[in-house]
Amino acid sequence: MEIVKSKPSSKLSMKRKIEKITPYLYLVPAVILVVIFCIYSDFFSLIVSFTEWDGLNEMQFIGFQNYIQMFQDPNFLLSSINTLIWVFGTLLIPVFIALLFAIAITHVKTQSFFKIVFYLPNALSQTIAGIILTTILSTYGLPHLLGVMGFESLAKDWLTVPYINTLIMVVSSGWQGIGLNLILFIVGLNQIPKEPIEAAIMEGAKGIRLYTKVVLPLLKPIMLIVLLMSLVNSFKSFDTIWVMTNGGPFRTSETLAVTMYKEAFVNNQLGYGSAIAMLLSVTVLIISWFLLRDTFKGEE
Amino acid sequence: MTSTSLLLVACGGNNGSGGNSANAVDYYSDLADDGPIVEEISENMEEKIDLSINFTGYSDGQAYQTAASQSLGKEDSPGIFKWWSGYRLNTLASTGEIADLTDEWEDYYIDAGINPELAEAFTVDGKIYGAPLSVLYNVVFYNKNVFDEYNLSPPETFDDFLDIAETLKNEGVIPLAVKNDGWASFVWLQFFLGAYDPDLYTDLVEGNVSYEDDQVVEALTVWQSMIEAGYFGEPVKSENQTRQFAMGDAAMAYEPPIFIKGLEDDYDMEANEDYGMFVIPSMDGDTEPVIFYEASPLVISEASSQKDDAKKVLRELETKDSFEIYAKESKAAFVEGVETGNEISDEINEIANSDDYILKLRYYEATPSNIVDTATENLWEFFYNPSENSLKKALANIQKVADEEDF
Repeated sequence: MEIVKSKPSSKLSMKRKIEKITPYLYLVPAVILVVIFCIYSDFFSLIVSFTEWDGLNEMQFIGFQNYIQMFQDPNFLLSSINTLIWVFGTLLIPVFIALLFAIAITHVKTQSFFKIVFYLPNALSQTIAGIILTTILSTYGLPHLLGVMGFESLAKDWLTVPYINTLIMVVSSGWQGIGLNLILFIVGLNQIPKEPIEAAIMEGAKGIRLYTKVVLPLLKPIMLIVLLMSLVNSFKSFDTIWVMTNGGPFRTSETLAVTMYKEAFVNNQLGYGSAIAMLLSVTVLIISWFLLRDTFKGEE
Repeated sequence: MTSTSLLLVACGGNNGSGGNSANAVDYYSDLADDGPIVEEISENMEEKIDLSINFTGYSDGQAYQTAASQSLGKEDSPGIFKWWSGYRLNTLASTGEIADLTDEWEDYYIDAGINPELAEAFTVDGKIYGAPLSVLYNVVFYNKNVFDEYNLSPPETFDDFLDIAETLKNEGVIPLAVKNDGWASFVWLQFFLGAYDPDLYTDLVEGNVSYEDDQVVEALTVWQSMIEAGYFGEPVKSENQTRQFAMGDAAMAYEPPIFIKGLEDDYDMEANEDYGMFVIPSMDGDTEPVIFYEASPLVISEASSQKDDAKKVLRELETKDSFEIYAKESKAAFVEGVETGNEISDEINEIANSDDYILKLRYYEATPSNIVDTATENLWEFFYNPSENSLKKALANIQKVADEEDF
């Protein structure tokens, strides 16, 4: 009897074990990729950041010298300011304007049409969009047309004008970023239960007050995702800048990601480039943690 | 992040042309447009020595330098790499990862008609590490139609050059077109120093003279006054610079002969009909004019399993037959007797090989790369905000880096 009883129980426990392990097995390919491309790379970058290395000769351990140099380097400080401009621009255009458009679009009957119109730029890669915009904004593009129309002071290659070019690129990149955020906001707005809104309206809430006090708090989970994606993307801003200005002229339009690439692969200072990469990674991780901690708490 | 980039860069590049046979030698280059030329040379070569070339071209020079540097030192590294001369070659040679080609020069290249003087640009500590791929001479191209319209002719003296610029500016034409490539500001440093005093240029790039030296400041003050006078166009993308020149919006451009390819292919301009060239006269009128050149070598990976085959391929590349093909396609030649089929380009090659001009290695290769990187940024900043103070500030910043360099 004991033997007969023990067989199904061992089968059952084996089945339970397999059931427990199975989800982890599905994760293995992703984990392997993350370990190779993220964990190993981050760990390697961390080590390199404490060295002086040109990629050809032996690494020389120099302690925190690269981190000290970073805060004394005017290029690093300027690219940090530019990164903050990108972050601010990213909050203003792809998030705030996308939210306004989403609210407007949910009130019209032809939602699908507007969704397609605003999402289309997102279908282009940032590199392709950058090339197209560079051509349009170059000397023989839109500025030339403005010159012919009599606005001669505007007939110049604006992408070569320091500081102005950063603003142009933020707007260009923002134009592309609106599409996805808009769709997410529309999905979020459509999922909000009608009851609390109707109750608020019955109690006299309307217009901006209705949105700030009722709708937007209910949209918070989607807003957090959009904010996080946009912030992380703004800290990583590279493609648009690399294609449109190459970080120039004289490094005035670089962001931290571009400075990291230039120091590591153009100036062959892989140690210094890695130090910038570490700072960038830690900044993005801290921001992500602040934004996501409430979401994780909610899930727990 | 940087290490992932390294990994991805190493995986990058465009597989171009060339043989796929078992006896193919890999050839890496940042000149992606060379693919069809190398393919043609490879086809001819395969018939002769049963070896072909597998060309990989990178369109991004920086990505190329990283990929090439990372692949050296390994058995499976490509046999042949395109590289740069001067200090950039010194850095690579000091690692011991590229092959010594001194014997190849003596046994093959010189006999094939390559000028032995070129070996100097590829020599490090008495050993020759490169075989010439191209030598590009920088000259001033001028739009003949614009010059004819305002009754101008190429300058005999530096003052003539300034008069031409003044006339063009007054007629609403940009005297000198400027391209905005990050590295391109140094060409004007060499332009003015070469015209002022070629020896001063040499002393500067070799670290014997300070960037804050009075003579250097004086030479570059001429540049400052010309920027302030409006003789330079606003920096534009390279393709727009060609367009400005071709459309007659700009009258002159300081460029190597590969500039011609764009003029002919994209704008149907004809040599000596639509455009001409001249070398900038010296400021004192007595010194011979200077032509700056860029010499690009091909190097062989010391550790590569293809090393021996790569040497055989290089012997075939360093022949007049191969250079004829290269010259016709790129519109640039440097080997005596090899013609491009373009009158202006052939004339540039002819005068550069004559005794009437002084040849100087261009700034990018002639001085340590850390100084070049700092100089290009600071000179651009000066170009956008020209003043006595911004010039002095730029030169002080460059000298600060030069002080730390071991020349």
